[in-house]
Amino acid sequence: MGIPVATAFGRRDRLWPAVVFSAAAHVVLAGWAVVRRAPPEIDLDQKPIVARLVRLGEKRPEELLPRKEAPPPPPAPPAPMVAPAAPSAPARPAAPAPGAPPAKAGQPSTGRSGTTLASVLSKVQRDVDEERWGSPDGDPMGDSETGSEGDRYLALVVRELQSNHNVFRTLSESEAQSLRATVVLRIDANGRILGHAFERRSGNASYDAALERAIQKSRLPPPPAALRERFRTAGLGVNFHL
Amino acid sequence: MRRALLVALVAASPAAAQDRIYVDVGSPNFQPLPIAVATFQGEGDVRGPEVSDVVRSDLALSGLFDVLDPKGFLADPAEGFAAPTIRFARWADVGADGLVKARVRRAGADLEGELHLYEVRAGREVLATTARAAATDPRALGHRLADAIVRHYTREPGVFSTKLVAIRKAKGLFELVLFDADGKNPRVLLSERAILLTPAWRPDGKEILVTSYRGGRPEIWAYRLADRSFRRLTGVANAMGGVYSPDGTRIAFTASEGGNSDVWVMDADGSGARRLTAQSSLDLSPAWSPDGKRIAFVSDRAGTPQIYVMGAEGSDAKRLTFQGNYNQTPQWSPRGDLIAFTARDERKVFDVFVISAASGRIDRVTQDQGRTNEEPSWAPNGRLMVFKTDRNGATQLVVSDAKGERQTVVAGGVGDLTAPAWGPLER
Repeated sequence: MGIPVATAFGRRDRLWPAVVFSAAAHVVLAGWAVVRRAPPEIDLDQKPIVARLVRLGEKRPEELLPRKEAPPPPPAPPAPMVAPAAPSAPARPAAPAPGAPPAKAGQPSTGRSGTTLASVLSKVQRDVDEERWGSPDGDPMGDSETGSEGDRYLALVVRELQSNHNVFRTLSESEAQSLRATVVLRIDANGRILGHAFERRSGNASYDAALERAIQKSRLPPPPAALRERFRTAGLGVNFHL
Repeated sequence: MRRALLVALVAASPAAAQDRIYVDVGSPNFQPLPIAVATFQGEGDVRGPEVSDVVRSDLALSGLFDVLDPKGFLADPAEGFAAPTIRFARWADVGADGLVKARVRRAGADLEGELHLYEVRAGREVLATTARAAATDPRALGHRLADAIVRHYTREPGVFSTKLVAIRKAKGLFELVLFDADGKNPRVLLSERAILLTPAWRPDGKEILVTSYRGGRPEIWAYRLADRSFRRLTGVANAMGGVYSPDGTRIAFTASEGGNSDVWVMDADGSGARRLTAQSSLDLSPAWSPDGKRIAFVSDRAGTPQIYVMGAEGSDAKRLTFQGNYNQTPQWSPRGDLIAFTARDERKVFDVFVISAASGRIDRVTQDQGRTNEEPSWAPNGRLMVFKTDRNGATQLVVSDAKGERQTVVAGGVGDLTAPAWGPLER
């Protein structure tokens, strides 16, 4: 059943002063808040949280030469090779060389079993196959040999962003030294990135575009309950650098 | 729109900023830039494809680019050079971020290449340039065009017009062999029954120092490229491994007197030889810093061969490496920040490493790639290095970036190639 037109107009007329009053009150309150509250001092030099998941395992002896965390990529296919010519003689025909064998892949530690079991598995894994050094109090899911303390959730966020933090190698060295950008991510309870905004751009459009691609590509885990409201409203600041 | 407004409010809100947690994301994944090199057009009897093949090979070797396979190109091969006539969407569809086009023509006794570089996403031309080379050497033209592309992106000189030398041992002969930077076009400069070792370039690229046993003992000789002359430089007994200072006025080398090797230095003409180290330990393999003020060398004064650094006059020697127990063949990067060296790890395998001259941090270049990867030599841009490897059996030469992320076997197949030395930039 529809509302009579005259009645509806009548109700709108009655509400109009209240709407105007409410809007004016909001404007006054917002203006007062802005004037009253000085802008915060953002310390750009403040040390951010560096979060990495340290792998469970034994610490690699310091006197040993380092090994790569990730296995080396398979070598590029060899270019056709030509045998050297004798002095003052025409070049001899090409002599192709066999391709290099692919690099041996490391075996990451897996599973979420108890610490003891994981530790034993880690040791066996290392003894049998590839050395996977870590920390005795590391995480079975860790992917780093060393690290510093940090929040587990933030570590996962950093790892996801890091995995998508891709830039072209052609970036000039001089530019790369100074590239830094800060982006604020607003994250909902499911880990979805609701939006992002640059708090500080790098000054290099190509790098800023790469950061936006990284953010769009990243799938973050749901924040812990205690941080949900904070990440949804205040957002999470991410300092990107090379 | 509403989302953008909310984000803007969040970013601008002082209260929110105060309450915000910040995390740090660094160490990006450096990825090669996808680039399409359209097959070059040749005018008259000039073979454009030969030049474009060289450009593709060089760009791939640089490790900076992912050179797309021309078989997958969707664009019309006869497409023009003016940006408005190029269908950039077709190049974007094959994943190209950069696009190279060129035409090659005769210009008197030379070949001239007219190169155009485009940014595919922006749909615009970003570089137009020309380069020349002798008509008999189309590969040289390709190298110069590749250098121009690298220079555009990195703002640093390309190194594809430079040369490599190495010692090749085959059929009882020792040969000093000159290669293009991509390991092609080998030319034998010297061929002797006497042992040849450790070639090193003069900074102007006109001479190469070589350790020769021609006189029955190791001595430092100089090979001049212009007239193919080969002359003895010093009469110091058992002298080897000579390397020019960056300004070309001095030569550091290793000499053994009374069974103990030390680092020496002499003037570039072989005169004025004087000892820099006077320890009872073995001191050898000097390598100049790019500013000529310091020398890295190997010493076993602490019990095992380690890398040390001292002043160019032999003062203030300091140990640089503390990991590993067999570190040797230091080579200072032209950038000055890194020293590449060979080390034997706990698996008794020789691999190439780099160490920061400032912090002492060591990073691996090779790992699980044969039993021996050694004798690194930097390209003049400090981005690439060449070293020898046994990963395929006989020793070969590999060109790699400083992180070892892209390694390419560039030369080998006949005899054993050792002691590669990357020449200076073309002048």
